[in-house]
Amino acid sequence: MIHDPPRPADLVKLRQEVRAFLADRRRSGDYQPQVDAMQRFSREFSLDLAKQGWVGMTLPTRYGGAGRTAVERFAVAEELIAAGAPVAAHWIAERQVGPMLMKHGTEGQRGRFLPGIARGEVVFSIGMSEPSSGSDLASVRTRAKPTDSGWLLNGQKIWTSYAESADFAMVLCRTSEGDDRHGGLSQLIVDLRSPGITIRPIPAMSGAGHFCEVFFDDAFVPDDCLVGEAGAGWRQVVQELSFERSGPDRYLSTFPLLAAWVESSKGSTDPYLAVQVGEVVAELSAVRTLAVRVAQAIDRGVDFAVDAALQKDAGTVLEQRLVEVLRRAGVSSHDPAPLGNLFYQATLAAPHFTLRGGTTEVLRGIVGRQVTGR
Amino acid sequence: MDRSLLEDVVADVFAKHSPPERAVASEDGGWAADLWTIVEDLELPLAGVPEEAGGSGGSLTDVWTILRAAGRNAVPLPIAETGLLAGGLLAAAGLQAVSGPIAVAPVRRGEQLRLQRDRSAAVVSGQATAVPWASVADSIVAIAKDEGGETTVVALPRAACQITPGVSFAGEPLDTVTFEHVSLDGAPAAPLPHADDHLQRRGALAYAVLMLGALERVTDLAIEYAGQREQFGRPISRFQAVQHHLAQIARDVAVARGAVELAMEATESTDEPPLFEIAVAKIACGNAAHAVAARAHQVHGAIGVTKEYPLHTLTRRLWSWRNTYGTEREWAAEIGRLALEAECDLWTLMSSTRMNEDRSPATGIGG
Repeated sequence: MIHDPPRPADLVKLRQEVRAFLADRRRSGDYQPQVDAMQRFSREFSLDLAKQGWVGMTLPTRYGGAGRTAVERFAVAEELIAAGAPVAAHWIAERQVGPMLMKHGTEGQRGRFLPGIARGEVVFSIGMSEPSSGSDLASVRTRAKPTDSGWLLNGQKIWTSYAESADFAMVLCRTSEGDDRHGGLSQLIVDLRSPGITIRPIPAMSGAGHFCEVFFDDAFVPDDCLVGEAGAGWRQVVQELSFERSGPDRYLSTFPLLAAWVESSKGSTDPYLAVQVGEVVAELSAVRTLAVRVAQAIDRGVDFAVDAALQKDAGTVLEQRLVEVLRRAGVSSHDPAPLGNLFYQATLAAPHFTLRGGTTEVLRGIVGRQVTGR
Repeated sequence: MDRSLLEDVVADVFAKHSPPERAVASEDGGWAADLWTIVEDLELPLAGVPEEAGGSGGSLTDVWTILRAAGRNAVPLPIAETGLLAGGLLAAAGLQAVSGPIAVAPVRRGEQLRLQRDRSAAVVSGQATAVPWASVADSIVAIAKDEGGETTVVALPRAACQITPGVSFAGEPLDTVTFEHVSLDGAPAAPLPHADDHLQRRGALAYAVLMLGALERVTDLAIEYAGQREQFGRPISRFQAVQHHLAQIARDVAVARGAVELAMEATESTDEPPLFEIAVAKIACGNAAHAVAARAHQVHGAIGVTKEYPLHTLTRRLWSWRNTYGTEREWAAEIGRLALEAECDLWTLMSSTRMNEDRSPATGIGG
């Protein structure tokens, strides 16, 4: 879907509306700004946000979306992550499942899932990684054996965020054997409440994110839950990963901490502090320009896989460094709230930034192969 | 001229007349007079200065196109100084552009020249250090402040000033210019209507654009070299360690490019060069200059540090240009002060800058 770019004045107005909404919800205690907002789950918040028209923004209006551009969605997403608002309940569905169903879903699937996604009601988990298949995603072993009216799913997924609370998972699995290990993969939408599915939480050190293991033991998946083509799963999942890799959570997850530090430093006349603040703000602003590019590329319908990889590499590495820069500038978890709490959260959350959604090493491999023409 | 046509023209001219050997030959006092003549005949130095003010006309976009190509080709000439900076100052004061290669003073933050008036004359005094091109320029365009705080711009012949030659990392002139009661008598001079930090901002953006061009060529060289150099029976570009160097070069240049393009977009006129966007661009290019030069040299091995191979013509300019018209630290201090003194919160400050609209193609590695 090629879109005309929104006018700058309209984007400003949209951002201001989101900010006013967020300020109001903070005042009424509905949420507190947290680091790593993408991993903070609140069904109530997602429903509330959806009522404002800010979930499923890029989905067509006939499915309950707002029919708006990726650039507008990006503006709203930035406001939410910068404010540390709990977006996890709708994030995956909205960021990648919705666009994937628009690209590859049947009309029936779109009609079935998209309205619920746009209302902030439907929670999706990502069914990609397995214990033996992380960076080497093509090596997944979860198998879907064809039966009468669907498949029987057997295998295991891991690092499945929020599977315990989720309604569905988009599961990458093997539906046929092929010579080429990329062939024979498909994507199935699995109802996580089906029989034969066991979900176990995996506590993470940061206290956020709610990792799970998901075990499939002859779990039945109906025919109409195949997304796109059988055997085209690899190509599809690569596209899905482009959506997953890009986005403001890749450079604004620690923003509440940065903002709190600057706020608490106001009035300081320390010239070196000004340099430290300026260096971080400048780097963050520069990385932001890449994220805008990705949103523009989505609207234009051009391939953005490499741009998304560049953006994620730059943003996540910066975020990790930011926590250390602040520490060396004297910030600690003993600072008064909110600064001290946010610093504590950020320290524990930081290692995962360069792992989730594609490790930095994998991303650099993608970019490296692109530039060397391999 | 259509932008892509201008891009092609400058690319051809610089490739033909300013190959890396030309940059090397002009080091250590070898001023490229013949190259200046070629460039001047094509009206490149005074691009962006209105025709009414004696310039070649054209838009700011033309200026950025020329500077990016000049950076890419390590062109050893004061192109930024002559038109955008000097011509811009003179035009803003209602004066005609001056032809010939020009140096502008002062350059370093915190340096200021004084204008004193007595009954008979006005004189300029003071010292400007690290002034690019002063010792080979025909004219020095200087800005000086009087006791009342009013700023005047003046175009002086080089001979009127005392020049102590110095050299940049790139072997280009980087001189100290001393004004000892230099009379303004007969020289074009007029009050400057706008704030004097506009020169700093315009200069910073010009040098950011030069750096971007150089960064992009460094990237091309590194990729090309890694694809051709074979060790252990294969091109070194097949090794993950080398691929990751190249990927990080691409990342840092993409970030610098995004910041520079935003600053170029946000600078619709040099009457109001935007502080935030320009500071971000200069810092991004300075950061990239450090990391990209280091990685590119690492990928190239020993041949990359030889005079014969062109990499040094670019990396030495990156090391010099990142310090010109404000170091990263100086610009970071500006942004930090803005953030710490702002009444609004940090997100409001950052998000109120002009994010790039959909005017230029989505850039990725290909740029």
